[in-house]
Amino acid sequence: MSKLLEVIDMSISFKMYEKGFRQSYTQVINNLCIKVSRGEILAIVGSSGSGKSLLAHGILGLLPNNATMTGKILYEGKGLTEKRIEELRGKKIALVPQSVTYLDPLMRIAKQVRGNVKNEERIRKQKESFRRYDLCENSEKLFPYQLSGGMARRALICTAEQEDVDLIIADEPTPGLDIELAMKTLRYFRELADKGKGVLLITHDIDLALNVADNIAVFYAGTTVEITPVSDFLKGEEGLRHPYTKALFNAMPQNGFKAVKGYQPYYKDLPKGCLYSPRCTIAKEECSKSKIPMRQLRGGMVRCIYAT
Amino acid sequence: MLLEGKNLSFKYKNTDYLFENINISVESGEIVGLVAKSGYGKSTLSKILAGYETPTKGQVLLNGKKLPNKGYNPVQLIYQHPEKSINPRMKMRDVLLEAGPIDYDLIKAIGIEEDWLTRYPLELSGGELQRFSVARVLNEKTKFIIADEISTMLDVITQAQIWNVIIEFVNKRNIGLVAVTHNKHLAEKICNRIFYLEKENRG
Repeated sequence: MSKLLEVIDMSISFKMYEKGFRQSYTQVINNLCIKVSRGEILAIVGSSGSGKSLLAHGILGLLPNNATMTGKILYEGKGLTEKRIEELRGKKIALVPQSVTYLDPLMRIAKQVRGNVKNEERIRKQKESFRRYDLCENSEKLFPYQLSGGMARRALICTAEQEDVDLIIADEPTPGLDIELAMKTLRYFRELADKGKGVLLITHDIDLALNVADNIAVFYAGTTVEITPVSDFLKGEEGLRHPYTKALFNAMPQNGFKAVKGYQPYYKDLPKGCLYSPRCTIAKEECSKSKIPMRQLRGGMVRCIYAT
Repeated sequence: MLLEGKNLSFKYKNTDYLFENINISVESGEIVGLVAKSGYGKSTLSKILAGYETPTKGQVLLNGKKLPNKGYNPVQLIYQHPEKSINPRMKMRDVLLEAGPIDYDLIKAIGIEEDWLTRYPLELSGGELQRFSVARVLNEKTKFIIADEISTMLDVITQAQIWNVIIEFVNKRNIGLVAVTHNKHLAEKICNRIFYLEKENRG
């Protein structure tokens, strides 16, 4: 499988003002590495506020002005420069945004989905995707505020289907959708992947991700802590590598619903060594000494010294 | 106490009925799951139960009486989209103070750091904001909570954390809870019974 997207050592930091004109830089994403091949669905799961959406926005060049990004992004083997992403965005790389507030509140949704062009081909495509997601003809003329949460979500998904894209970045496409619709969306992503496209699926719903994805990348505090094939996740706790991933697994309602103590460190005072060490049950002195690199383990990757 | 919706029907202007003749009730100390497909009117029903929307037909009764339209509403709603339901111009501390004095032990249990209180909503992630909308309803004047898909945007650990806090609070204070959710496993785990809003109820 050829590589479609590769993110190498990405870091994103924000310039912020403290008191008066004093500025400070805070790093929110550190040394992040992921790759998506053609035909692959890579699911990204992880804690809220761990920078999953930032990654999506970073790839698409949609970061705000006060953000600085370092590291490399390769798309089809070539660097993704600002100019190049502008050409590809929306045509070859599509985003399903996270929040329904991304819809223009003053535009009827059908028009919004197909873009501001009158063209029979586009209209046909838009109607087709509306039908696929059970959005009835009447809803085409509605404004976003008239839609239910799930309907707005479906409209957002439709927008990503309008062009013949190679890479879909879906930032939590399923909240608000019932299981049937969520599965329909994900099956459609699977179809696209099987046709040789790549999908980057950012989600909280591990259950759903396990159904369609090939690999899962686990995020914590702005970095990847584990990349694992789905099959290992299905094996349960023993199959997994990083203690955080195990904690995620145990917190699922069907696996005990246990929450580990503490919370994700705030990006201003990140621990020096392993970012998870303050909450980790197997952490030892060594963990907090220096940054932990990713390493290969049992066909996956993990950022932990003691993982077996 | 008993919160009941009697023969509730609802339609938006110029549309068909979204649902008709719904009867739903929650007792104090009970956790009821509300499950339905997308677009079937779960959020609308939640708003009606909390008194934020008037049903086209039928009524909502709290212990046989109508909901008060002045003062603190004993039926509190937690919205699906926290970024839309919190005033973007208020600092988080003021958002919490609107509901009453801040219980620092409680906000800690929910996973809010004190440092967040001085920030504006735009400076927090969706999951972090949702903890605030949970914190502001967990209040001693609250008798019923309607939770409209509050945990879908949270990671599973935070989900477990927040639900455990809510459930503990609900049990301790004998509060009735309606939990709207799509997650079958979650509903089975936390609910005493599940109410399905189905096609037969629609006009």
